[in-house]
Amino acid sequence: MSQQISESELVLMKIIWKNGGAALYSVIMEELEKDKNEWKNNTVLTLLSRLGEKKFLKVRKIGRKNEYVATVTEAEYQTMQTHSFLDKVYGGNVKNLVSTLLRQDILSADELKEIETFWRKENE
Amino acid sequence: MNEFMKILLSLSVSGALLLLLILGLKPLYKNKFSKRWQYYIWIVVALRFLLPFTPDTTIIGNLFEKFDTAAITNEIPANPNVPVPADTGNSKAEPIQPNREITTAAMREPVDKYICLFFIWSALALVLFVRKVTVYQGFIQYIKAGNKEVSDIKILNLLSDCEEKLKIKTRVELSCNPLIASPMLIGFFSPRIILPVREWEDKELSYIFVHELVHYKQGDMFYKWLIQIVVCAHWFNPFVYLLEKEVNKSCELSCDEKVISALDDDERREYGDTLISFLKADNTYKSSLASVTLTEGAEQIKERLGAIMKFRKHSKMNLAITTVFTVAVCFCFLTIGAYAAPVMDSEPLHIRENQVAALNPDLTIRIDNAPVLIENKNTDLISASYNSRYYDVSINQPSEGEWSVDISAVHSNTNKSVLLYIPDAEYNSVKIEIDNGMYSGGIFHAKNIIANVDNGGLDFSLSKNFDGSVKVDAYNSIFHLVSLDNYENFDIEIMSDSESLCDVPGYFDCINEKYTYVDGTGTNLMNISLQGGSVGSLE
Repeated sequence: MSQQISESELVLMKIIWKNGGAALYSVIMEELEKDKNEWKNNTVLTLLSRLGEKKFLKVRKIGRKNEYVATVTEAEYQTMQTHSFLDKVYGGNVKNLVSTLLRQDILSADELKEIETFWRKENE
Repeated sequence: MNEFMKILLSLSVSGALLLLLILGLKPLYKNKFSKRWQYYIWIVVALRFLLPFTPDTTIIGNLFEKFDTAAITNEIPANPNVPVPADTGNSKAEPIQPNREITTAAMREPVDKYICLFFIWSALALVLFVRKVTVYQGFIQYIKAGNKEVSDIKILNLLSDCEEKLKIKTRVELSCNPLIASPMLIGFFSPRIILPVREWEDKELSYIFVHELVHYKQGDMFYKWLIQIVVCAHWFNPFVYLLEKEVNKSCELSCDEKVISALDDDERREYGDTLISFLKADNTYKSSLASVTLTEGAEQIKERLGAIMKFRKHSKMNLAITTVFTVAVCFCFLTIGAYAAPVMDSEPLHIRENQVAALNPDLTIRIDNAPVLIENKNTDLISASYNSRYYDVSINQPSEGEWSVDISAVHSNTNKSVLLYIPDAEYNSVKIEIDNGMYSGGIFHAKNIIANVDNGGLDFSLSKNFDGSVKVDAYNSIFHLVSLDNYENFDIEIMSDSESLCDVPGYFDCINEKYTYVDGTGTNLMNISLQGGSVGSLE
């Protein structure tokens, strides 16, 4: 599962995750329309089949309809992506990442404190 | 093997003829018929190269049969179709035995030659095909390694639009690849369009998509491989390379025609511009991929651009002429024809030799309207070699009881004969019935030989130490008999009517058209009746 999900594929994955990890094609199309995405049928099918090839999705046949089932949860995907981001950009060094987050005010002092208490509790 | 090479060669010749015919008529239809027609008509030629399907009498079929007969008359000095006339009978001392030896010796040599040719042909065809496949696969792998999926929604939507417009049901994948110079389509069943990496305008992209999708819709991948098979099978024929070239060229022209049929004049110009832009790009990459891509020369782009600007819709009248022309081409497909191999037929029945000897079988041979050449063979089986288009041969050889062979003509328009192989056995009784046919060759050792010949010819030999009886009734026929021991122990009586002639050895007695001869014990009775203008000859 080392392959990357493209931005547009991620849009589809998010819809499926939101729908409880599985969604019918028609549901996906409805959701896309709600978000004012004008995606053509074949475009969506192409992206779905690419996700299938990358093993992020499984296709389940329900009668003549296809249901797309996510093989990873959103949390798993986030962990995976964070690891790969960390490795790629910070060489696996978490401290550098946190310092960047702080320096750029992406992470506030309060949030950092919250994390610290969470971390201590975990280690007790 | 011999027959296989002949069929192959005949296909090669007839394919080339059809190719030249269509190519020769090109000035007539080039600017009149649709490019699509000019593309697909080559399928007829490709099939002519591949399918040995043929009607009964065709140009090539006749041509090859003529070669055949010429070859046979050279190989076999005694042509079985020419009855041995009575007056030459005496000059031939032992006609059967030496002829048989020559025949087998002459036939063995060309067979070896044909096997050799077959191996050269098949080895080269195979090597060529395997090479084409591996080069193609290597190319696909090379391309796949550099592929990156295009996930730009705008471009994917554009592709979807084009697919809908062309009513293509299959979903087509889209990748971009820095290794290629011009867009291409790969895959037979799961097609994929591959774009070179660069900035694209929407208009440009839609032309490219439509062009490549039309290629897919036309089934060009299958067509190209069909042509490749033709090229591999007929590698020795220079015309197949011409065919390959014509198909590749007309493929692009037909595709262009389809693309621009929905465009207005301005768009057509833009489409032409797009083509030119690839010609420019092509030059930089040509060397690396020339073997498989469709990189075409400037000359062909010029032709394509010319066709684009000249494009106009075709009228109903034109459609009618096209149809007539197509029918004519298909008719040519049939009449040019091919060579059809004679079918070897042998009955799959096994009797051991000693069993046959113990059996002393009865044998009946019925011939209706066919020249039959008989050969004794040291096997247990009766077999025949003949062209099933002309003759119907049925062999009935039960392990016990009566053996029988029926030979009749289905189609009399031939001078080819049926070769019948008869086991060397001690027969109990042999019955030969000929109606309008010819029976020639074979030595018999039998208790009882009965022959009825009507409007035909009969020519056979009696073995040494023959022990039995012979009865022949001939009407308006030619009869020739050879004894290998000068009719030892025979009691012979030949009756000839006033219209018939008979030529016998000098030691026979002749009184009023009745010929007699008695030798030794006189236990082998022979009774011959010649009537209605028959000619008999005994040696």
